[in-house]
Amino acid sequence: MAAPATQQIKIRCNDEKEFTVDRDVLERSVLIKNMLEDVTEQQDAPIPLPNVSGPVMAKVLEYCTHHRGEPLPSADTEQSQDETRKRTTDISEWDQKFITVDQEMLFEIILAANYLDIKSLLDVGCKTVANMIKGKTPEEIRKLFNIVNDFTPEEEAQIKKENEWAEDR
Amino acid sequence: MATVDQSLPQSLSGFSIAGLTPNAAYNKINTEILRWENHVRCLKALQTSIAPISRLPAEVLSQIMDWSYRLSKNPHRTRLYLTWVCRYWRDVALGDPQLWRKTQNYPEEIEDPTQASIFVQECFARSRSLDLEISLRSPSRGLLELCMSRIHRIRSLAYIPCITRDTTYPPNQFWSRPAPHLSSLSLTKTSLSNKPFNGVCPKLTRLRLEECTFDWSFPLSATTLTSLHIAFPKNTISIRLLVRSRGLSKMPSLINLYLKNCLTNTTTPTPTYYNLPSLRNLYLEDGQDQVLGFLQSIKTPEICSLQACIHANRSFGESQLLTTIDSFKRLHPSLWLDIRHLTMRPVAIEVEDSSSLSKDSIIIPGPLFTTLALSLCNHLSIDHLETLSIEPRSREMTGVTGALRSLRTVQHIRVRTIGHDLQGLLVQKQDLENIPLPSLMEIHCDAPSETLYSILELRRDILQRKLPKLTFRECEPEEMKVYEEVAHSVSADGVVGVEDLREYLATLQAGLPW
Repeated sequence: MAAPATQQIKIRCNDEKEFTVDRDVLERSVLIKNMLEDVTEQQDAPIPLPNVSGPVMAKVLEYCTHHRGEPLPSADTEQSQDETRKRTTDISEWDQKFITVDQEMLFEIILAANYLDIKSLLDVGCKTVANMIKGKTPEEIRKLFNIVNDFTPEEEAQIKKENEWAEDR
Repeated sequence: MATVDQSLPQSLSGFSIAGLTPNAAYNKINTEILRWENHVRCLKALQTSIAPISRLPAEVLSQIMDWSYRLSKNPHRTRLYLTWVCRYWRDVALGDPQLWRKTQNYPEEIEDPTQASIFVQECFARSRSLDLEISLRSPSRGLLELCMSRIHRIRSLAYIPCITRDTTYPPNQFWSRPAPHLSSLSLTKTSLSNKPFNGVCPKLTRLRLEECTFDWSFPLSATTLTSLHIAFPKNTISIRLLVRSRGLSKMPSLINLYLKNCLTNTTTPTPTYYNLPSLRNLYLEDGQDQVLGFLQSIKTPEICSLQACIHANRSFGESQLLTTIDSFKRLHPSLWLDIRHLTMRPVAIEVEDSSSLSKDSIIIPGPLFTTLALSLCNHLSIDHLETLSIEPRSREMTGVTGALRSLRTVQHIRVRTIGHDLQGLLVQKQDLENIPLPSLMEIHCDAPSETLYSILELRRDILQRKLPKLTFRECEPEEMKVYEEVAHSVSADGVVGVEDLREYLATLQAGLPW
């Protein structure tokens, strides 16, 4: 007997770009999974995703397709799953290649993962940024991310005074 | 988001202090400076707001900070630096108590004990009322006392004293304050009072005591413990089996039990059984009599993993090993059928004076592992073995590979070798070639890289079956160069993907490089 065909779901991004994707791939997103569970009847209208653009969604779908079939954290053990998830500091080789993008796209992917509630992708993004921060001084971090030091000189002096031990390394 | 002050002039051309007294002029200028400074700050904030990272909401930035702390080699410095980047980052970092509750080797980066205490106090304040996770390695007295003053908030505590410490400090009364939130405790070389935490540690589930002295008659939170680890150096037995067994009998929730060098060698004629109804993983490291004696005293209906590491000595040979295995089987006839993971290896070779022996002259009497491996297969009828961990010397490889032929259920093989001893494996290519291993999923080998090639050359079928994991570690220095070449070619982290290896091997058209 032939295996039942996978249900296809249509989604629409904020730039009107539409994707038709296997349901199990889309269900890597807890947001979409919950949406699909709430809909009892089959509907042809695409699911609107107002916070994600087409190019970013394409990347997210690439990730979800690669990781389809992997176990998702269940609601009742979410806390312990979170603990386990947090302990794993490594990023797999595939994920590393996947997340090697420019900063603009990296933060868009993180935002999309957060919005779509894809915890594993959010972790990959956050770990990647954390690795970029690793070993850098505040000034180097500012330079890396184009952040401006907006402390007043008085505030800066106070902050440095708080922890003088960390100053001279 | 900051907004620009629209009332500011476009330039200073309209600004005048004409007709003002010096004091009034000074004040007017000062006010103007402050307005401009504020204006500049707002512009800077605007500039920051267009940076891609500034689009992240606080909760995501908070997660990034948490990962930065975890991944950093200098976690405390990293944590501080995150608060110095800009106002937004500082607000996020200080607003997240989770970031300040944890410690890693607390706080080795701070050499000055006074500064360390100040910093730790600040962390406690920033973590607000959250439970603390503290790891202290060689802390100063002040720091230890400061942390212990918060024992009522500590969820996880690990303490390793300074090696050159005053052995009378801390006194065992030090550990007598109640610890209502403590769920994990790890102590090394510490003396505990006979009523640790005044008997109040109702949430303790994990207890690890390395070379500690304590009174077993009052086990810590016995009913809640799920994991117990007690270890002593060899030949320093400090607590007694029967007393301990009584203690164990009060621990119905134990799932993991690790006992190293703390068993007595008494095997009683009519053993008293202590039921460990939840125990699944048991690790015993001791002499043969001690291990057997302990196994005689417990009932473990749920056990699924037993690691018995027996101290070998020069008189511990084939017959002794067979006796041991037979005794295990007799004691736990049903256990063997359910065993999924079994490790047996000698952990030490006892010699009276090791300095008088050269490396080559230390020979384990009898084909220890050959016997073991063959016994596992032929003697014990293990039906479900998934993991086999062995530590062979080269002479035993024949037996090992021979034994593997029978282990059709094995999914993981962990072969630990010393130096080049896997040459024995190379000699026995034929054996390896004929091992069926239909369920094999993983080979882990602390071996020279040439072994990797040999295995892969011999076992194309493993490649074709897409063996998910093949790992090699801890090469000898002379092999490292070659190993690095292989690892670099196929994997960044030393975990070698078989798909990559296949591709790599395909490039080695001229055959093996040696």
